[in-house]
Amino acid sequence: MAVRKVAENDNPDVLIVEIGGTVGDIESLPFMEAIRQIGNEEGKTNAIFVHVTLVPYIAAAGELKTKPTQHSVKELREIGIAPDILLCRSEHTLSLDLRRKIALFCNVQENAVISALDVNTIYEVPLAFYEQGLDSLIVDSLNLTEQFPTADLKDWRELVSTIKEPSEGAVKIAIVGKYVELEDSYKSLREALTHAGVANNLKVNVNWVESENLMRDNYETDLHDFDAILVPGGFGKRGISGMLRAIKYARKSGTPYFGICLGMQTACIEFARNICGLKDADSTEFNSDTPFPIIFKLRDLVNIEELGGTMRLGAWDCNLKKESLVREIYNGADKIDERHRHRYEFNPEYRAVLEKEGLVFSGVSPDGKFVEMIELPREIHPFFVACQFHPEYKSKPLNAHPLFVLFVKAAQQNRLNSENLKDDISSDKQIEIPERAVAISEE
Amino acid sequence: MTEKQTKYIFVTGGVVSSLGKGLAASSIGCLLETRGMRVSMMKLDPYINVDPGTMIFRLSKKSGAAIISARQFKLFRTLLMK
Repeated sequence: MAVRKVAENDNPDVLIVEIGGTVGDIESLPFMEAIRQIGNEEGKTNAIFVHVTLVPYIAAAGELKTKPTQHSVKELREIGIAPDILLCRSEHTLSLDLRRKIALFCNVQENAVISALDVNTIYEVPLAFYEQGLDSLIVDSLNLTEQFPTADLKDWRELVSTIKEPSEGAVKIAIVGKYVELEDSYKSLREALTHAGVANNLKVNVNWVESENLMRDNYETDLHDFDAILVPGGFGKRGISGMLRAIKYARKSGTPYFGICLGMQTACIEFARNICGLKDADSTEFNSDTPFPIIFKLRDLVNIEELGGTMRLGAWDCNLKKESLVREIYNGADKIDERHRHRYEFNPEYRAVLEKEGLVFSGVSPDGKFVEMIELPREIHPFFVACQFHPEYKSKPLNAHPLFVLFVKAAQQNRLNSENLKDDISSDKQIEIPERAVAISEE
Repeated sequence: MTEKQTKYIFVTGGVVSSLGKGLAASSIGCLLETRGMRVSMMKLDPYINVDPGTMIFRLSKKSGAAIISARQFKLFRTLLMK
């Protein structure tokens, strides 16, 4: 079983196993049974069960209600799992009385009823748990106190204070996509930007721009205010034209651009159409009859009719081109591995055409089949990078992903440049207009 | 020292979804790491990494049971067995 395998291979001190879904869902039942068995085999001091539950506030009664928690614990015990610790999500602090009540009816120790309030940033949650003694409770139950007696939260406290009050000010980044109304579906992306902000001591203000709204005539004004533009992953045809406009704007104005997954595919389409003159170049996902299928399904999918399970998933290697910007970003590494989640990819037949016009294919899979990263040369654009994979999955709070770190840094540089430009204009100084700006005004 | 005993913390959720189970689990991991422990994490989820949006089921008109393709069946089986 996978849980045992991870314990064996990684051999960590502690393995935390989260079970998806809520207690009572039929989908997770086999997993529940599996962890019950492991709990039984390992014994109380080697395996503990933490149950996260909700204590809702009923405004009309002015009360926090513990019944849902009691019921979910009852359900858990029916499948043979008795939780040791309860983490109670609620809008208001749980009173001592309430905690006693929950402890009594759910059969846990009083100090094992932890209140998990809403906090300003998610990075405060460990600190909130620490203050309630959750970590000592856990190490005590697992007999690990002697081995790991104290916690050192210095780095973490610093992280939280940088997030709250960064010393370098803020940058404004536009994320152009079509699921922007569902911000949680881009949670890892948002947090990767936060991590990169911390690394630069900056606050990253993210504005979600609905790509369909960019189909208006003077769409450029919607993008003027941003220090950088990002197009994230996504599926389907809707909103693509708006993304292409955003990318064109970023390319021509020298605004830092970072494309991820679909954001790389659209960057290739934009380049093919507007620079290489391949009119109606497209992805076969959006237009199956396109004369120039720049993006298509590389893998042999003949005889597979349904969509399920046909994605390229998980970690894959990627070779980085010598002297490319991305190689510099990855600190000189010639080979990296990143996590993937895509069904369509760049069509290698068009590589030479785009390369000839100046697009750099800076990351390619070792077998040469999959284009993983593209960029524009630094002489042309300060930061125009896109990747097929999802670097946000590998970003950590105290170890931000280099692609995001450098993207945010480029955004800051862009902000500083435009501030200087403004100062120069107001002081009526003679300034040299960059070539890029001329190109836009000719449009 | 021979291979050390790995201890387990299982995190479940109740009442509603989107409670922040993952956040709770990772916060626990974060706290344990500040004590110097080596922590691994995993998630057991029937939908993880399987392209859930396109896992289309048809229901049998007769029995109401889900009909899945042989490939989907294989996929589920490997998921549950590993």
